Amino acid sequence: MDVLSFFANPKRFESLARILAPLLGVLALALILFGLWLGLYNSPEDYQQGHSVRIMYVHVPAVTAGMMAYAGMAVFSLIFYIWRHPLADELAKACALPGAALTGLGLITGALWGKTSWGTFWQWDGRLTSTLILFFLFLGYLAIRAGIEDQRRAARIAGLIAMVGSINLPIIKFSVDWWNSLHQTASFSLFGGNKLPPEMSWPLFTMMAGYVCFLGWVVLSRVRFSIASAKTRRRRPKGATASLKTLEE
Amino acid sequence: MHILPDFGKYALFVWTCYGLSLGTLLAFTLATLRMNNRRRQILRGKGSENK
Repeated sequence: MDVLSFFANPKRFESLARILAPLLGVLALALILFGLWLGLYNSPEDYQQGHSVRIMYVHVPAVTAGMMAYAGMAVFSLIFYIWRHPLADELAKACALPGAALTGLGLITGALWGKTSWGTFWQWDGRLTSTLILFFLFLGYLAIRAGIEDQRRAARIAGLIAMVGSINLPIIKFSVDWWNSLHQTASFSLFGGNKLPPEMSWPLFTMMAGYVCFLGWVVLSRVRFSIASAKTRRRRPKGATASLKTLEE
Repeated sequence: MHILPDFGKYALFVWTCYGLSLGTLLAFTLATLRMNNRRRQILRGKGSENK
């Protein structure tokens, strides 16, 4: 709680983000380039799926980062609801667009991988449908933020959607265990071990780390831009976002 | 090692996925760099106002 209040101050947040954002950006670039090299040139083809298994190195990181963006959006919305920190709302807002893009990317790459593995682009099974719902939740959140002029009201309604929609995250995760699905079960988990051989794990984990760093860089940069914009708009309050206007007072 | 590896019958699917992924990441990178430049311009403008 003290940590939350400490970083709720935009100046303190800026001093942390000034170091963290470029660091994440450089890390993301290095990890993604290294992951691409590993995935394209230094990993074997699968005995069943052949070279199409390489789609995993861009599909899984995209969906994972998309889910992390949604989890971040839900947590920051909760913080905004409880402690009314406007910065938390800005962080939640900043997660939405990259999260939607990454989830959309995960759905498209998944469909292409599905065509090579299952012979179909789409199947209305638990994993695919719950991921599509996640994508629509992102779109709904973005539509509310863009469509409601009163930014405080938009923040409250969109935050509610983010929090309620977070119930979808465990459904996505466990859908392959709960229901019969074309989608394979988890190949690795924090506690359940890793079924992938190291030559496939390395490119996958490198790309996942790269995508997560990339998401962090984009989110922090977007929030830093919002804070800087709010500072200038404070002089001309006509267009100021309600939340950051309050934050700057 | 070839510049572009040959993925046989799956080449179209694999390269489409990598192209879409890198295209999306590149678009976000360019938008974010532009945003960072605008932020610097805003802050520089603010600095000169204070002087």
